[in-house]
Amino acid sequence: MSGKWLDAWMERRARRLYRGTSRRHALARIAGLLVGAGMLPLLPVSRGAAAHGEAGDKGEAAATRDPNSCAYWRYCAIDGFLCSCCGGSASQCPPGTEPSPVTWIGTCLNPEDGRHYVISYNDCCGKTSCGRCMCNRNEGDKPVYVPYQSNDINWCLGTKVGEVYHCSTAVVIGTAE
Amino acid sequence: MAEADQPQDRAIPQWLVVLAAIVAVVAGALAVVDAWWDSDEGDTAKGGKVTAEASSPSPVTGGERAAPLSSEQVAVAPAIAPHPHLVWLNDIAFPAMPDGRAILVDADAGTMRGMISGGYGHNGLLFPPDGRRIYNPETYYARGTRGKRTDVLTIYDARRLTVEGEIVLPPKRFMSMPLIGNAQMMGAGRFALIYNFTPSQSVSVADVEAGRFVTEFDTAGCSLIFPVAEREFFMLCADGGLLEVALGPDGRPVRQEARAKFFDADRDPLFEKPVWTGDRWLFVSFHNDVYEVGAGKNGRIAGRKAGWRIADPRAGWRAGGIQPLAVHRPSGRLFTLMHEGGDGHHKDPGTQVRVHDLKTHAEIARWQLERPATAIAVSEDAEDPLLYAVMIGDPTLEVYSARDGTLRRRIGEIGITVTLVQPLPVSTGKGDAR
Amino acid sequence: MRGGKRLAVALAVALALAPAVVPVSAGAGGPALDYVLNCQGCHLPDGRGMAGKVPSFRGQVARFLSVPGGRAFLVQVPGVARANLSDERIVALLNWLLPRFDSDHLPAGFRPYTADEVARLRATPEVRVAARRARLIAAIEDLKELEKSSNLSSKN
Repeated sequence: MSGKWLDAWMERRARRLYRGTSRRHALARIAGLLVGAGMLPLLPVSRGAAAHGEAGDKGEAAATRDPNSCAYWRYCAIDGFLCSCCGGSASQCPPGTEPSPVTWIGTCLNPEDGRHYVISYNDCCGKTSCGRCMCNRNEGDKPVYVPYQSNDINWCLGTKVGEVYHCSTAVVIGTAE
Repeated sequence: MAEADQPQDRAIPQWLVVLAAIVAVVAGALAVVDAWWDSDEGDTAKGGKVTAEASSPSPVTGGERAAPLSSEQVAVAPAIAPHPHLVWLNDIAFPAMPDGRAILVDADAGTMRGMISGGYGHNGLLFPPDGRRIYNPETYYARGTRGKRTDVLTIYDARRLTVEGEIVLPPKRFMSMPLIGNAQMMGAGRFALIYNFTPSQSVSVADVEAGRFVTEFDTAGCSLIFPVAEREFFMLCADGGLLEVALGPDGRPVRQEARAKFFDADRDPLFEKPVWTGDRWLFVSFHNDVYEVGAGKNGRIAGRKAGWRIADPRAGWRAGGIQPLAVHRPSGRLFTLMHEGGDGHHKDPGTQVRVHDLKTHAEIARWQLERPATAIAVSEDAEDPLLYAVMIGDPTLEVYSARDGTLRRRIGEIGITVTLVQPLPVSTGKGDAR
Repeated sequence: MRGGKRLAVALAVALALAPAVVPVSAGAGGPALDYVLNCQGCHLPDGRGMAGKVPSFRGQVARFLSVPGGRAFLVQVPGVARANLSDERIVALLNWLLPRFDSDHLPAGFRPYTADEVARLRATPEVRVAARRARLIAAIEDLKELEKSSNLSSKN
């Protein structure tokens, strides 16, 4: 019941926001609202958009240094639940999960030192979805027919535990400059 | 049971009866308010019907009472009569991926009609032309999230949604954000094709009429399945080329030919999310250019730039999302989900739908969506086509008129992370080549 | 992001020089970076791949150069032919990869790949990869047997 009421309330609230402000800003706000309400940390796309949109409000620098934020610099093409919110870190799988040996690899710019780094987006596997800190950013992401550049793929391939996806890491494996 | 259960009203004091009446009246009033509350803008009484029980106050007055409700036996709802405003919402259940599902919604009534439980990483359903069955490529682990993996093509009765059987497949099904090209039907409904990725790339073929797996063949470098004729399909390759495959009458590949690249997969890739117009597949690129792939003059499959675009990307609006394109074949219209943003934003939700005429390529309309959306689809009927819009993570289906873009209704509490929207095919059995 | 690949390359991590064992690190040079961004995700940093799913390069890949059709196959295999890299970068990648992962089997008179050759070969990517690889590996196995027996006979 309360869920239904909350839904209706958020819906109206979101629509008002949406009308009253620029579209992209509104989008970020809607995502922030839903996520902030703790109802649905499941807006991958808009969460990514929110990361962009909110950066301007909150101060970009802080967000790009926070491994639990979608705006963290090395998550520039991440798609999934942040392992840093799930008992792991940006480069560690949570206890009892297994890192995928194969993955896709991209580059992200670190605003701290102005360098491009090579990022390996290994998935952590063998438990059901973590469900926290859903992010979707797509810098350099390609459609799945370019598999080695695509974040839409469940990369839990070749693991001993099977292909059940838990969360995503973003491991710095070198510089690209 | 019914006769033995006579009411014993003499034992109930009068004040309790009055109190019950008051409660009933208040409840009825609340239900009316609730219905009004729910019937948001654009919604009509259809969506917010008040139930008979709630709206009629108790007729109890001075000891006179209406006949009691007759008792019931639990049963299963009757078979679903197909109509063009039924729509399947595929839900990968991203926060609980072993539990994917597809939800059947009646967009006219604003009701949920049923569900298919789709297993791990649910993608989307396969509809054979005769409309009697539904096939779903499914993945299961013996211990839920671990143990031996089994992939099956599960066979459902399309009207009763019961499981009728299954065909065991190689446990290699491609796991990704859902894409229509992950599996397709061919051979006028005889074959189901499933794209595999381990990361070795291959295709599995199942003969659904014979109820058996036929073959698996490797398709290195090329992905997804897009049928163009009864036994011919193509796959998209990493360099912007394509692979043409022809199947023999038994479902085994008889010809595999690489075709030269027809788009730049590096600078302006095509979304791997095309729509079938009846004789070709339409793709849109990250920069809004339209491409088409179909049977060429020599009978071979060819891809080409169509020579027009959805919008000038320099104006800031681009196509994008999970399912950005929809075609309404009777009116020859293309619907494109658009968002504001540049490179790296190609999966951002859209806030606008642009409508183009497929013949003249003219933009017919530009509609603002009430809520952002990641997928759109259009019902196949000529009379009153509906445009569906969903946003992943927002459990709401919005139903618009596909003629003028007005919001008809909004259906809430639907799914967890809805991805692909599949209106019930009505063109089935009418000789679609595929 | 793709631009990163085109950036000038600075060596960030010192590489030990033991061939075919030490993982490739980004920042090691043009072809090394191209390997990292286009191949390593599946073939892995040390080129070992995944048995049954991704072919290994280690102690294996240069053997293809010794059997008929093998040199062409290494360009026509879709992972190479269909990579979004220019002919020149494919040339650099192949000429780097072969000694890197399988210097033991690099034929004595190995002629480096050229851009013309790569352009010609990649225009016709292999379609039936598994079947062709199986034939080439059979030929490689025959060659190994031959080498073994000739080694034995030379000892006698």
